[in-house]
Amino acid sequence: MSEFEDQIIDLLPRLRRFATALTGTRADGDDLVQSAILRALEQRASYDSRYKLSSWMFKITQNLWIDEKRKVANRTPHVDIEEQTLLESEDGRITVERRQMTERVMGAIAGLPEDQRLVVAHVLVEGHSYKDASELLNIPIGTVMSRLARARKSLEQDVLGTGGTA
Amino acid sequence: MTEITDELLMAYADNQLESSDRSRVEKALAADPALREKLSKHYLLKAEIDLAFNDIVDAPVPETLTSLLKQEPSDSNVADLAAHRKSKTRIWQQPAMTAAALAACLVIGVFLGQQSFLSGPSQTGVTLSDTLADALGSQPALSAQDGVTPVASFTNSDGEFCRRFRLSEPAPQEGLACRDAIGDWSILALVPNAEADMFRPAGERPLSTIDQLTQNMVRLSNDEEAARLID
Repeated sequence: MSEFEDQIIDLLPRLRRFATALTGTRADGDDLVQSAILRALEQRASYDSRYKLSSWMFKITQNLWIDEKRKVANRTPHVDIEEQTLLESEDGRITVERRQMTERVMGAIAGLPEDQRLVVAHVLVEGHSYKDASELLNIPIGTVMSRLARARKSLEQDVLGTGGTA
Repeated sequence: MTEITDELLMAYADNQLESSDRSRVEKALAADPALREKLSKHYLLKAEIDLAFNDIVDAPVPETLTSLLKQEPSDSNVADLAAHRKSKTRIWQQPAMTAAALAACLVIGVFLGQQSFLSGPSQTGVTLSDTLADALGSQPALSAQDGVTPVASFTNSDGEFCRRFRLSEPAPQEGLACRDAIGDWSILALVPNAEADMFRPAGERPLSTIDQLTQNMVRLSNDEEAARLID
């Protein structure tokens, strides 16, 4: 097995987390990761090894999701995002409370506008720096920050149940 | 005291500030309880997000994903990849297509029994009879032969040649199939014609399974289709 495949395998846990943050459910997240793997295998010739493989993979994943969102937005009537955010209870060890909170967090993120959700997935879920997020999303750092600040306000309101700071 | 903007405080919480800005924020925090309260919310949110997502990172990665990357060493030739996909992932390839794909599976399950053009269910899906495979591979759209009428041609996101088709035997049905790089056809959906007609896109009615599946595909012109047909 080549190094390329091994490195992608090592990235899979993080890619799954990132994809789940974008899609709102683990199942859809895994579908997205699967598409990203297939795309990466197809386009491996275009991978420039001077860049980090992780950046390349995150970018593929993010772009597939953006494309998909556009198609859905253009062609189907509005779908209530809340209905898609139920988390499957696959881990019996997670307490009910913990699971409710997890659903609440994922639901809140899934309810954000697409551009804010991408920034949240990169920075708050994956822990990417503002600079990395700005490069991956191809937007200025100032835009990353303003989107993140707006997203944080809604998330803190939804997740922590506070009145927000606005 | 200098104004600490929301963005500056947020960047402090995310550990994204240079040391001069850090100390500026820290000075302000020391003097302002409201600012400390805001900061604690930022930390709390981050902690909740970590808790919500971290067991995904700790969980074992499903084999459906790792197996895509654990092939025998090969120069990643297309046939390998296609064969692999065919066995593992045929219907699940398109993100956000889960519901439609599931519907397609169910439909195939239900109608398989009466389908003379299918050589029978296998572990991985449905294999086409030679008659149908030949018809799909060679007939231009809207030409009927042996009860098979291709209706339209597409390429999917993997560049595979896909065809929407109608069957007249044993009952009117409409289907969608794609041909992989090694030339094998897989059926993505097969529904009774009645359903296909009932769910034609109109107003707010839901799209048919096949309409949903072809949404992510590129429709081919007659010339593009002809280039893909086998004589």
